[in-house]
Amino acid sequence: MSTRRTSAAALASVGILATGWGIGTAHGKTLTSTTATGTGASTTTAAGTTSKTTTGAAAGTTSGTTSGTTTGTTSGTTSGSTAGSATYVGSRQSDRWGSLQVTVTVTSGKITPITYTTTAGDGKSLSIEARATPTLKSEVLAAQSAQVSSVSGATYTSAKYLTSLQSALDQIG
Amino acid sequence: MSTTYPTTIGRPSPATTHPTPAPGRLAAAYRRQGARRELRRDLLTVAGWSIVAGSVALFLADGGMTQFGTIGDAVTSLGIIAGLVATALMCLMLLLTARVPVIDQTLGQDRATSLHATIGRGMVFGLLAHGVLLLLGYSFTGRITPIKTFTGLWADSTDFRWAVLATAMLAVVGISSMVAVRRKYPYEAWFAIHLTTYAAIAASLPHQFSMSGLFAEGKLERTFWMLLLFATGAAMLAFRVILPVISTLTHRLTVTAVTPVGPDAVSIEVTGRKLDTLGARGGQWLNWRFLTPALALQPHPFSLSADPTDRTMRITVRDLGAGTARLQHLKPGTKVAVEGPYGMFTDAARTRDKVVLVGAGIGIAPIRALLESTSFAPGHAVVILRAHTADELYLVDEIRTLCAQRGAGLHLLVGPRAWDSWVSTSYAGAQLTDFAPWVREADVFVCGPNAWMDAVLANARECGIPASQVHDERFTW
Repeated sequence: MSTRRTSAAALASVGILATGWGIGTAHGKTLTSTTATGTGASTTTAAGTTSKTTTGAAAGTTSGTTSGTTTGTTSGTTSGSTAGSATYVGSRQSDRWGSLQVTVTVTSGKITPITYTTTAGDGKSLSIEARATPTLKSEVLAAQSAQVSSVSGATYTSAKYLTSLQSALDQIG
Repeated sequence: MSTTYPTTIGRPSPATTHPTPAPGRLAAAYRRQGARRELRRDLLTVAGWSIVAGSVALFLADGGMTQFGTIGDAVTSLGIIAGLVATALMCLMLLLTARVPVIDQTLGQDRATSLHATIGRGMVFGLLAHGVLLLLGYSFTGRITPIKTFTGLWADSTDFRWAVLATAMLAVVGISSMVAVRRKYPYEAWFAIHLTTYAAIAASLPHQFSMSGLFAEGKLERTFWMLLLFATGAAMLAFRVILPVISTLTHRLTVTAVTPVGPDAVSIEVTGRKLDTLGARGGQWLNWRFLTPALALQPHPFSLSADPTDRTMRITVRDLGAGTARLQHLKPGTKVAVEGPYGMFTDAARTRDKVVLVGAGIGIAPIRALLESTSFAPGHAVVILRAHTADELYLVDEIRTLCAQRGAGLHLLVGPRAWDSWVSTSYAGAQLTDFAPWVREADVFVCGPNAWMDAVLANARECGIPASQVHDERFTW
């Protein structure tokens, strides 16, 4: 290997890695700021509709876990609006393992059944989701809010689940 | 046809007449040619490393460096990187054996193949690391045992089962490709095992896109990755399948003469159309497939033993085994399919105006073709041929005539080898510098049996000849 060849190859590799790193960092920052705004807005709405006090710690946890990893599309739809009971579909939340969408039914102002759909393709994600979502569901039903702590070992799933749920709750006018 | 020295890269004239070139201009032209080849080598090296770095950069661009927060995430991330690097290396390996012209004309096919094998060992480690690290990472994160992770994935995902199968197949290929094992198999068995590589690669593809979030649908990373895989596949298909088929159909090669040139060797003359467009040069080799029922499935790499003309090519083949034995009885009129030409054992490898050609046994054949097709001033070339018996100095009469016409020195080293030296006992103690005092300022071309070539190359190093001026070609087959 000539010196010229070695240094050129090293330089090119470092340059490409640095570019990738740069894109990743910029990407992460954008996400963080978007999510921060989103969380702020939804916290207000949540406080208004569910009359639950949002503790700073809980909000902090949620935004912390969400930042830099999760992107949300804000296309929630509402359906099945019958007397006293309505179903709200949360926004679809995506990350590197797939997307997750929560559907919640609210009867007389009380959250009752919660279901979710997932596009996670790999067994690992599916098993984590299968383990975490029952816990999340029972916590949410108990708290009547999306402001619950995430399940350890299922940080990303919790973030997607709770963010989607929050966006569903946001639709309750 | 008018110039006898290479002023452009690509196709130096296969000069059939050699007017004495101006020594200064010849030296400058060959030095430029050498510098350009070095540049190509540098660019290819940069390109290769860039592909590997690019695969890791895709992970980083997706926010990969935030995925090292916990032990589970860190191990998982390393596993992902290992998989990306291994796949990038796999693409490089395929490109190296795809007979891409620029790679062949820069590295030479034999060097490309040995680099392919070197990278292959790294790739197998990368793949194993990919599997093991991801199982561990998932287990840490999911707080279950690796075995449970594996059985869970196995039960849940078809693509995972394909990926496991691919790993197993690649392991088989890797083991069977190791030289020690390869010698035990006939060519066909080795080829069949190697073909499973393609099945393995195909089996590994689905999980790359379905199980990794990195290449999830709609992501830019997915597009990049598909482009890399597609370009690799396209290069393989174009240069290993389509181009040879077109060559074979275009040139319509037929055996026209089979002439004995020694007790155990024949020269095979092949005639066809438009051979100038095939672009073969003296010293290059082609993969020959003689279309008889017994031989059609066996492609044989043979070097040209004469500079090709617009109508004919000639190879000289020694009886070295079952396949080559049958070639000795080839009938004129037999149709021939070819892949090639390949190799840098040609005028295109020259970097100096002086040249020393060293050949032994049937390795004399490409030396003969190179002597005919390369340029030098009288007195600036020496040919050294070695054989156990005078009978095995194949084509020596032709070489004697060429040397006399062109003003090249000729040394014939016949008899047993002196100890572990490359010369015969009659020349015991002789060095390359004894045959050509100016050898340090010359290109040295070496072709012959592996062990003997190693001895010549060792002597070249002892004589202080820069490695960039020493050119050898090896056939693993």
